[in-house]
Amino acid sequence: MRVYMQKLIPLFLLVLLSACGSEPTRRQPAAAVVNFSGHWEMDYGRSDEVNNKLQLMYREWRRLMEKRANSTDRRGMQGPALTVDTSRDFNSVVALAKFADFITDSQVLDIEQTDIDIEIRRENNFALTCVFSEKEPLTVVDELGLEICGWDAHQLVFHMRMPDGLDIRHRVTMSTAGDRLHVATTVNSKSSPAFTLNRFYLRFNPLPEHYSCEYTLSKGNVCQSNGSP
Amino acid sequence: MARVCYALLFASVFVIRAGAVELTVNAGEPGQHEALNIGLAVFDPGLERDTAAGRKLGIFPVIRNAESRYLPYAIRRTLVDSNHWGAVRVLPEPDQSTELLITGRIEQSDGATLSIFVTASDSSGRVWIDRSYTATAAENAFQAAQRRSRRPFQDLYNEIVNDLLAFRQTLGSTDLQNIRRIADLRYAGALAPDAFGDFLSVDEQGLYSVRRLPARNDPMLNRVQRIREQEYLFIDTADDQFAELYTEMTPVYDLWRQFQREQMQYRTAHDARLANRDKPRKGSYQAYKQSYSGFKWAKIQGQEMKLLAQGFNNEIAPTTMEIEGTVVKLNGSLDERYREWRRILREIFKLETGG
Repeated sequence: MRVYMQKLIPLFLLVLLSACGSEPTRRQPAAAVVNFSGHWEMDYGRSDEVNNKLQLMYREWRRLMEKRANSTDRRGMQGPALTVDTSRDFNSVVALAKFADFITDSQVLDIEQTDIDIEIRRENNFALTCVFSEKEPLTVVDELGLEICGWDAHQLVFHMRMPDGLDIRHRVTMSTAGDRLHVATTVNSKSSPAFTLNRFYLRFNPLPEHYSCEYTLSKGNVCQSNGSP
Repeated sequence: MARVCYALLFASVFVIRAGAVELTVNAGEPGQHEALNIGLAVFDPGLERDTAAGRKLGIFPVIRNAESRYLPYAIRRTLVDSNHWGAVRVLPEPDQSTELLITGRIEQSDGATLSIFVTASDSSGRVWIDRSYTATAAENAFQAAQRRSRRPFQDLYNEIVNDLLAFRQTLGSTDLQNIRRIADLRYAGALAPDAFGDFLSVDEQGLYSVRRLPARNDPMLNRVQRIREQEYLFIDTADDQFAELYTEMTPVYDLWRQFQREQMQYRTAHDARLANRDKPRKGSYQAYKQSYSGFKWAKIQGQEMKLLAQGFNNEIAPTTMEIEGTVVKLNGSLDERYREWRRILREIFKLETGG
């Protein structure tokens, strides 16, 4: 029974996290209740490792399939078609998991947040930006797809859907102590069940810079010393 | 009816190729009646109310607002260069008593294409131009601008100025004289309606005509002229600062338009590459990656443009602020101060005339 429970827990967690992927709601005012500003680096110890997560899922998958196959055998029905479909399903989950890993591989996040907007700059990726709205969550629909962002209680949600149906949700949460950041990324597509990957980040303070820079169009970054180090 | 006919005459939209339009320049001195004074109001920046929609179109409010001052000044320079006109001034806001008033709305400005909707009407209400001007920049327009005097989109400015000249040439000297008289009387009527309110008549189409003329040495008219000179003093002071903005902004603006153009070309090429690539199997990692890649690069490109816009602002903001802050010691923005200046002049006029 204990082994059975151990195997069920990851699946339960997966379903639970997928269920979290709802649209941002209006439970909080536009003024941010949480300030994510700062520099964050990935906490590998706590973050999901995609291969481990897939192995766990695969074991659970096989167990469920075996159980299902046994029950169909007992009823005298044939099961090979189910096995082929299942194998294809799992391959698509693997593809989605690899993809989730690919889009969340930024080791460092630099976040700037004001009363009206937020910018989450990510290494090797575009910045996630959101202008907080007092009314509906900010929605942009164009040839790139759909983008929605906004607060869902104390969590900030970024939802993107590509024209082919590929769906990505980043749900950003900060620990009560303000020293940890959790980004749960759920990816979903028409050909696969949802997959959620959890990344945790620790706050860090970069070395103080003894110069300040301003970007100008003709001169590029123009830096000047702030005085003696 | 006349207004409609003129509008229809110039209503067609043409896209001007770079290097296609030469400015018609007057080698001699413009005739006394022909040299109408022109006021170019700061353009409507054409900003979308919906900032998200503006973002999609690649419109950056800071740059559009700077363009709304830069472009009238660029046209002003072309008008002056053509040597066909009297004083040409950039106005903080439209003044209907100008002999020839030009207003504009920026419809598109993305480095590759510039499109402005221009309306020009004289003091009698006759519409000279009411159409959209669109031009594409030559491939090397921005680099070439560093080396020679021809500005990117100079053809568009030339086209506008040539059209104004072509229209003026359809008018007789009496028409031109009337435009001058009506301009003076509209100004005087606005300043002293009791004294000058009935010198003009307006028909149902809104066209003004002279009903009677004041005496040439009318002391009240002299006071009006003096007040108007004071108003020009304000505008000419502001004009110096528009000139400074133009000089300061030109190299940065060329860079911005060049970058903007390059980004657009990159995006078009990227989209074409994606369209030609073999489509990976649906539901595969490659398919997900390809789907995301288009989105990712478009976002990165948009954010790069935002950074460039910020760089533009960092460089131009001090000059823009100077325009906003140092003309005269009055509060508010340039147009607010212009209004305040005009109000003060009217107060002075009232005091002088015991009104």
